[in-house]
Amino acid sequence: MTTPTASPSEHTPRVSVRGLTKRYRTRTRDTTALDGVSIDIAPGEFVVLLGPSGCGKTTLLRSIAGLEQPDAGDILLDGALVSSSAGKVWCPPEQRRLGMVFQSYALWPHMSVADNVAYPLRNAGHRAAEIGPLVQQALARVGLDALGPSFPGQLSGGQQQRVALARALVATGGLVLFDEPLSNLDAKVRARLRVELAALQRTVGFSSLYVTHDQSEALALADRIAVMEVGRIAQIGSPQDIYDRTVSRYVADFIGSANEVLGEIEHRGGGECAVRTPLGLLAGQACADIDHVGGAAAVMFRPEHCTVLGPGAPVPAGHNRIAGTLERSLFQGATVEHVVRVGGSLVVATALAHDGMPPGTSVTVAFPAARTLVYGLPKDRR
Amino acid sequence: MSTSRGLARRPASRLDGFGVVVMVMLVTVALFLAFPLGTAVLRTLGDAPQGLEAILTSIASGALPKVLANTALVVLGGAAIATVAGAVLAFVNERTDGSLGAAGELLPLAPMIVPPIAGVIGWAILLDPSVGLVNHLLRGALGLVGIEATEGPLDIYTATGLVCVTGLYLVPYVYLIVAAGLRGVDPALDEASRVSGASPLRTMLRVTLPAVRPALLAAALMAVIAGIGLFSVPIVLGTAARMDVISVHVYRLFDQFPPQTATGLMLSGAMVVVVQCLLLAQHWMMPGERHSMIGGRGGRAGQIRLGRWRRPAQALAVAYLATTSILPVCGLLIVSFQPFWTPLIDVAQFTLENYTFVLFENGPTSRAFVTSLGLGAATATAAVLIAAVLMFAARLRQGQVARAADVVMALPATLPHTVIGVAFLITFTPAPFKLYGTVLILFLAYLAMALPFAARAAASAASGIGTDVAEASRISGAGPGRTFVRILLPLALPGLMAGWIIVFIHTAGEVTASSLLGGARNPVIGRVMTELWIFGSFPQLAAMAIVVTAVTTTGVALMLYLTRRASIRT
Repeated sequence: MTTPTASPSEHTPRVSVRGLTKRYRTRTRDTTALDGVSIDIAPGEFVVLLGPSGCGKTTLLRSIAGLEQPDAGDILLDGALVSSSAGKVWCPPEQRRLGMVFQSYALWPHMSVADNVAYPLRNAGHRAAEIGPLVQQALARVGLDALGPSFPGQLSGGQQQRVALARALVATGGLVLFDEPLSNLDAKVRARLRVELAALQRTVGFSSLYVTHDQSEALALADRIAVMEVGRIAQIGSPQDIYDRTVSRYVADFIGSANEVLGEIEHRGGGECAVRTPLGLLAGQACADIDHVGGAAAVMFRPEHCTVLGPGAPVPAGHNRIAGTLERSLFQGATVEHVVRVGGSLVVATALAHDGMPPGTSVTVAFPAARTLVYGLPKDRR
Repeated sequence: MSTSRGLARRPASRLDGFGVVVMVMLVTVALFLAFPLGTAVLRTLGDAPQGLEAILTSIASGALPKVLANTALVVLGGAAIATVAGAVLAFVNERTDGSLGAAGELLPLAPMIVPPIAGVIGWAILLDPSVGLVNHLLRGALGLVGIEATEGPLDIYTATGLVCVTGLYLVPYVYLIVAAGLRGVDPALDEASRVSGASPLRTMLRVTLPAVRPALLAAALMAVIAGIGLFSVPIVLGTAARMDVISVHVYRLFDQFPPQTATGLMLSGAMVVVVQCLLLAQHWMMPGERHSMIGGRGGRAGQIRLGRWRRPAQALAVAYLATTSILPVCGLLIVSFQPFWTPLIDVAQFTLENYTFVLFENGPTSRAFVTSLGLGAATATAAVLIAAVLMFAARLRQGQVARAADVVMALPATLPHTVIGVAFLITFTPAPFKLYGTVLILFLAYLAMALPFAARAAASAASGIGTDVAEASRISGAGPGRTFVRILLPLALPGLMAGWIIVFIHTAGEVTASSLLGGARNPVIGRVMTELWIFGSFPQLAAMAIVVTAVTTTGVALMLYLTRRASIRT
């Protein structure tokens, strides 16, 4: 059991999760929602939990909030233990002093906007005279200072979302949990609120844990992203890390879109390796799980790193090349998506401008070896 | 910043102050129900030899077989009428453009707007063979074509009359179950059938009705169960027709001197066994209410156009409202203004004397109003408070407590009201309680009967409130008790108030337990009305029925207003 620190310094993580495990027992089967998850959130840091539904990200968030009781592991808030199965410590949600923004916003429809925001302050025992100005300040921060007397039912989805945020920020020690807060909004409002949220986080400086299944949201907001895979964290790092130095096939598949080719390791040298595939010999960055020549491997490269070259155009140095036929080009506004047939498979390449090649043209797809990732595969998963 | 959080930690424990209150309340309610029922069971077993002997004698004399035959006829006949009428009304109102819209919501509420005891007396006033108002009009019409008669042509004091009026009051049970079933079926299923080339009729026969078949069967069984327990209709019409059904027969066994307790208990036990078997069958037919929950959201998108059948379909719903409410109330109104009951309506003779008599001058009736309305308010308040606390506790912590609360509070709904009355009668009459004829025994029996209604209202009020609003309150620093008082209770209030009104209406106009338990010292509305009927004081009785109806109608209007407002806000 970890000893709680009495006085947290500025280096103490706001949230520290150690080996958290949570199982759900139903009559038919047991599911492990969390399997020994550990994660820290530093002061002022914005951490995003990203994963498909059922990966355990919401369970982790709710365990930190105190809405779920974990089966094993410790949770420390500002160095103080709030949940530990070993030490039999359990701190109910109302004593954890954190804010949470729910997917449904969970505003109380029978209270005015101002009363909604004042509620945490009243619970924390603030004097009536202090509450008014604090509420006004919280509402002003999210640009809703005129709407205090309104009721939640009279507000738009975006405004309700802001009230929920104001409420979450008002009486907390600057730690806010977000449970897919933007998923109920339409695309335009979602994009605008995402920008506002990022700006607010910079100015107020609160620490956050943010759950989403939307990768573009995660990439835009996060200081660090934790990609979750059935009850464990598959990779954690900056958005850049996750995108460019993806450590596993699962994460690569989940983040962005990727072309994938299966093959056999031909040789390996340092961080680089070459893979024999049906599309030819491809060079790429070897990931940690590659250990021997002749093993099965998956080669992944992203459409936006590919260039489609017409007949006779020179291929730049350090690039892989695949020869094929242009099947079709899908115009997507700012970009064009070229689909190239190579033998029995299709390769997708994204280009900025339309260079007017007709379908059926013989083309070469080129992509830098430095941005090609190679993952080892267990033999039976080929 | 976080030292307070560090100090706040404490051992994992499931019981806080709120939890203790909930557990104590749950155990108290369970004991409160188990004690009289257990006493009744023990007493039944103890008296079994005498009871069996008396029943065998009764069978030999042909009295009991007659009662059972009457019961079978009235219950099965009434349930058959109710199933057809209720299913058609539900289909028209839920699925077609013949729907009456908001007025359609009144269909299942009809017996609350006019309580059965008032409605059935109203029908007796209209269809009495000699002085019935409608019969008088019919005789006049027949006289024009040369047919003269002094009686009839219709007689409500017959098996047919009893079956038809019983059916009328069983319709809401069928309607509610079938309508819920229809609402659970995605209209897109109908549309898919139409798009696939099926006619509206074929769609109804091959898609819509099969989808709700379990609901139809369950509804028919529910009508039978409710029919067995129905008391007010057979006590009024059956008495005049000399046709006793089982619920009335059991009442008479306890009401005569000396009471035939052993026989009454034995027959009550038999009623319970039959009803439990039917409930099991119903449960087995509806494996979870999710069965008919097919497809996505409901909605009015897929209304079937009835074309020229639209007006007749609407007329059907209007006719139902008229037969349960408008016509009997008209009859009651006319007679309540008359010095004596006569089909010759003379407005010059109209008087308010009957009203002043029952409300102010006559001790038993005026006290009955005060007692019944007071008991109604007390019962409703107690039942709704208990149900609200237990239901929300169940939602907050789920698991065993939730299941226990569900089972305990639904229990009285599975017992005919005659049986509940009998159990409280034999438990609390002897020493040390000696409660027979007191307000307290009525309150206890009413409370037992009211719990299922209150529980249903609280459950539906709670189901409209997501778990997230309670969680948000916990996150905001409020404990479970504070979350209940500040967030859940205010949000559930409209639904709970609607539940309060339902219980109030049922209790104020209650006849069954009132007849068994209410003594002369503390008269209540239900008992006084049956007595006035038996003594033949019809104009006073009509005035009393009108006053009761005015109270219940106001209550229903208030309830509709509250639930409407609640649904607008969320």
